[in-house]
Amino acid sequence: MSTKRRGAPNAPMALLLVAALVIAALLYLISGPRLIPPSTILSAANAFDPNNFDHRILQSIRFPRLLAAITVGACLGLSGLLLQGLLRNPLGEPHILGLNAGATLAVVVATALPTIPMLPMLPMLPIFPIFPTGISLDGMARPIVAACGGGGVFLATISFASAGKSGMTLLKVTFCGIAFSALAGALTSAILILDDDTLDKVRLWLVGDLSGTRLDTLGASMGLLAVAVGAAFYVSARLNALALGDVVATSLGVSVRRVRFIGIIAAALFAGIAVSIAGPIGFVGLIVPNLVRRFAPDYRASVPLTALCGAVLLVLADLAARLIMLPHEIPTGLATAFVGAPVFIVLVARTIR
Amino acid sequence: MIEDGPDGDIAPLAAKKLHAAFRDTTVLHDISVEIPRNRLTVLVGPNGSGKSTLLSALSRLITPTNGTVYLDGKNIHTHHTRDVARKLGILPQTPVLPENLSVYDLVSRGRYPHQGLFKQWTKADEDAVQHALAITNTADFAQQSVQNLSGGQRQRCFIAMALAQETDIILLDEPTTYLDLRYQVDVMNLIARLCQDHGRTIVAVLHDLNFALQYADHMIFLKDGKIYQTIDDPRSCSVDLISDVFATDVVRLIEPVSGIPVFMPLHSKSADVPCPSRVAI
Repeated sequence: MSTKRRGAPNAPMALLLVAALVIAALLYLISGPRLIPPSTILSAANAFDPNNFDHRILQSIRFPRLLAAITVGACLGLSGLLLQGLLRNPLGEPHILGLNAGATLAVVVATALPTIPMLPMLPMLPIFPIFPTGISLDGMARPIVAACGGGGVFLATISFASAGKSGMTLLKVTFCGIAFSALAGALTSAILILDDDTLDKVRLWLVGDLSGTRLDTLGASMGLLAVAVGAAFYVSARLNALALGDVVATSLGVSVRRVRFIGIIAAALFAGIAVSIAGPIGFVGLIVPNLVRRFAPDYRASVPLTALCGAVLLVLADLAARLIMLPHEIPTGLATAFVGAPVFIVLVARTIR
Repeated sequence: MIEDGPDGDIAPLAAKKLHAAFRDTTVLHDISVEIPRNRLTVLVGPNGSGKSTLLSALSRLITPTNGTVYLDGKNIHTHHTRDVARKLGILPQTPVLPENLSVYDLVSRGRYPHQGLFKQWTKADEDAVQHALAITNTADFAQQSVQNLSGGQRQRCFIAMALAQETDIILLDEPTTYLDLRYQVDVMNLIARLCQDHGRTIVAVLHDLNFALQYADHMIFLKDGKIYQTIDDPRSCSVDLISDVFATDVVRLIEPVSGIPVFMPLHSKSADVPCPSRVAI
């Protein structure tokens, strides 16, 4: 009787999201303190003229920032989707579970390392001989450092949350994530208060902002992004089984531990890439996967759909952040928080009854 | 390897000298069992007797501290986990139910071990799902969300998922718990049919002794993590056996239609009255 073809019902949604992304991207390139008509965008793409002011704005400011918004939005969405699937917890999100705060702390520590006032104590640390002058955050080092910090704080979160008889409950994970985020945030603040140079370097980045994105920062992440996307696709089919519980997943031949391991690495990489480009931006990883999974409970479909939807949402949020107080801009992270915080409250109310 | 049975047939699933521990307490002692092919084997015993642990050990969910579980005569832990998944399926007592999942989607997830990286949804997959839906009478609401169904319908959907996995052996942990009497009968009839008509070998943990007696082809009684007794014919189940395993005085009655015994505990009201305790009626 059922003649449902696999994947078919998701095709219209994918098309819709692609169309939304194209429209949002066009709006993004057109709008700003200076309006650039679509015809100029076309001519900039076909015949770039370095002496044309509009072309220069597109090339050096708007286009890199648009690419960054797309990448970061997709990464945040995917990080959240993987966390939600791995933990079977709709509140799974890099911002809530400590990944963003951990990634931020790691980047700040690495930036501040040569100037930290506690420097005399550093020779006692075993890592000191390797990084006598601080860690260079060029190229791929930055997202990797961020991913390690995010992954580390997330592991602390889940190991604390699984302590005790009841195991890892939804509430415990959420509270532990918030607690560890606060701890990592406090350490970050402590370093920055003591170290003005580092604060100057990261002030805007700290609240999550896409302004000032350069194409080379973005390019450095692409290799890692490919690894993380590969891992996400590997994990996606297995998350369908994991959604039915660890026992059913094992029954279906899924190696639960391996999937968790690979999935957590991928989630940390996505969060690390996003944070290294744009700083800690919250709520995209929460809203997008919850929205997408309503329509596409199959993870093999929700991985690409989440990436698309996250990109659309962040492009729109950043567009709003750029336009809402013209000629000034507000940080992107503030724009997502305005929309995201109420959604978070609704989700908590629905989940924890 | 284990020796062949008398008819030269290797038991599809067997355990030899199995010991298992849970959080440093030993819960299974020296268990050796052979699960007969195409039969419904029921594990019976009081709480904490090790029924569920034995089921977990038989299904590789836990690694025994000693001894071996054999699947088709080969140590189950040396099989690739995906190969095991094509031969043996497990349904836990309370599987997790994701939101917004239709019955069809749930059942089709049972096909996971048959699908490869590049092997997309095939006709064999579709046939297996349709067959599973038909056997379990769930085809009528295949497009509905599993969440909106009754407990009995949900349980049938999960059994359909286990069927779509097309394993010869299915292990069920208390499949009738939380169900109304009518749905318990539904589910037990379905399980019995799977053995008789569809060639499945089923091992189930059942809490309700009398249900177990009515349906089982083979019963394993457990007490304190050891096998107390194994019987092939429920009719041979005696008052002594039941009152010893469950440490409760019982009377034995005969269900008139099937001729299979039913055991009733002697409750406190009847305890003062001189009564035919431990006597078959």
